[in-house]
Amino acid sequence: MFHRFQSSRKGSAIVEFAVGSGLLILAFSGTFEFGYAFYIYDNLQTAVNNGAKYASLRTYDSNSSTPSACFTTAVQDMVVYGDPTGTNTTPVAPGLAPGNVNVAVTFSNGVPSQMTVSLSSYTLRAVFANIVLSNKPQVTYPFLGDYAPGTTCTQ
Amino acid sequence: MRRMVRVVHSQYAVAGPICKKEPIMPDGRSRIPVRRSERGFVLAIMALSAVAIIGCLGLAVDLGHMYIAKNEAQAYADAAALAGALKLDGSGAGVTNAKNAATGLNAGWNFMSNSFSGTVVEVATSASGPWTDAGSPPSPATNYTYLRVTASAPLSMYFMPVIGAFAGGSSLTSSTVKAVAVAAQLPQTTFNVGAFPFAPIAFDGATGGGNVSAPWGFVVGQQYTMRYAANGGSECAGDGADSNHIKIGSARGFWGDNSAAVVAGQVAGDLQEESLTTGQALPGVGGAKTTIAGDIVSRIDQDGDTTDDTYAAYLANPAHNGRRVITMPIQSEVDGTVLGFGTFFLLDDASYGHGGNSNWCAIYIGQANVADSSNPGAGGTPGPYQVKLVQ
Repeated sequence: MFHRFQSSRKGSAIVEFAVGSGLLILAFSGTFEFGYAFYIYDNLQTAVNNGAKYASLRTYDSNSSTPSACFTTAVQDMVVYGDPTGTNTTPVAPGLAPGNVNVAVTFSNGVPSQMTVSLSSYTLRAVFANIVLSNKPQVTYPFLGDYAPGTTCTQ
Repeated sequence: MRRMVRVVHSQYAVAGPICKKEPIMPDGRSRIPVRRSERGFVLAIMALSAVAIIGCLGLAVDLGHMYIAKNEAQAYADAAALAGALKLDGSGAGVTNAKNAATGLNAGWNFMSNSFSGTVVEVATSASGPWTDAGSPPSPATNYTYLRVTASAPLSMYFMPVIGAFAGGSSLTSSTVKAVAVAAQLPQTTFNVGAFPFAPIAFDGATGGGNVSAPWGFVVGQQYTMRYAANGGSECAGDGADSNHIKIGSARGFWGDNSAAVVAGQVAGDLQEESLTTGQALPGVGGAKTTIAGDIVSRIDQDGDTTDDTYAAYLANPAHNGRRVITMPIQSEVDGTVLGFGTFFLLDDASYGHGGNSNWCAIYIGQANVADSSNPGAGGTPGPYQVKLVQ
């Protein structure tokens, strides 16, 4: 099997090995890096989509475009833990915290019309690089829930 | 060079993967004579395995990219279908508004860096179609309550073209990822929040014509009594058709809670103390609070249009926001059960300023959306509807 490591070809094999393994390591680490980063981003996209969908269906209890603290917390917990009550405390991605989740409410003619949920300042720690995500992923849904300023939000 | 590659190739193909011993050529000769041309063996193997390695990279990068684009496109398609279906109102202009709402929704793909283009918006009267392009609205557009959005993201492939070239030159330089969502206006039969705390009486009894199915004898545009006069002496125009519609005493049409604070929340803020479903007995209470008149006025004042007296004029006013559109349970004249839910339009804010003993009226409007009640429905079952994803 190793007959080719003979006298005059020794140098050439080392060079081939150096070039080849260099390329291999580059390709494998690239595969891992991109694969992992994309996997995490896909999870984040799903989580933000779930949060935005949840916000669009939840009863809106504030009478301005600033949501109540309880509403914001419930949506943030939905994104981060997949659970609006915050009972589950395992984030969907490493290091993701409720503070990374922005909840923006659009009012038109005095009633809520859209819910936009996005991430800000989340650092995706891929193996070889840290990628800071700001305003992405971002998902907007039309508001479909009840606008009920007379109710009190319970989480 | 060419000969060498061919020899190496056949050796690899026949003996490489399975043989651990000294490989023997298919014709039985030892491979020793070939050894002279082993120069570049590693290079050739590298060339072959590079295709496989780039294939792996392609799977990780290009396929990963596609999965994310699919996820982004699906989120957009879902939201756009819902935004569009909210705007359907049974008119051609409504279909155009729906298309604009769907295509104008803020969304992006490729990590939010590209916006969606070429989105196809179609409308139909049922979930199974046939689908009509919203760019040329159907006429009449009545009953078009289903809206389908097809979002597409034309992705560039970075590593897959190598595989494409190796596998016979097929073009893998780009791939279009598509996502489809269908949303519709569907009747709502259970209310946990948002039902107005009054209950007009249906015309389902012998004296009302026995209208047991929706809209229970109500006529669009007619005024009906939501709270009856204390002395039973007056009622709203529409109820005059049924002699049994005069109610006096505690049963004046109010249901829910009768503490003044809760009543204020119920009237002005969509608070609902208990869930209400079609078929259950209406939880009626006295509830003739003197504060209710002020609560109704504050409810009407939440709207941008507090003065128009007909629903058509209200819809034509761009300042309207749907707060004067309310959903009330319809109670049976026979046994007081909830027959269903009807949508009504509150009169101008001056109409409710009188005392606790008079009757109050609201205009029956047939159909309205619960979430975005600034738009009437596109047809189908009368009453309140919700916009939901059906696919």
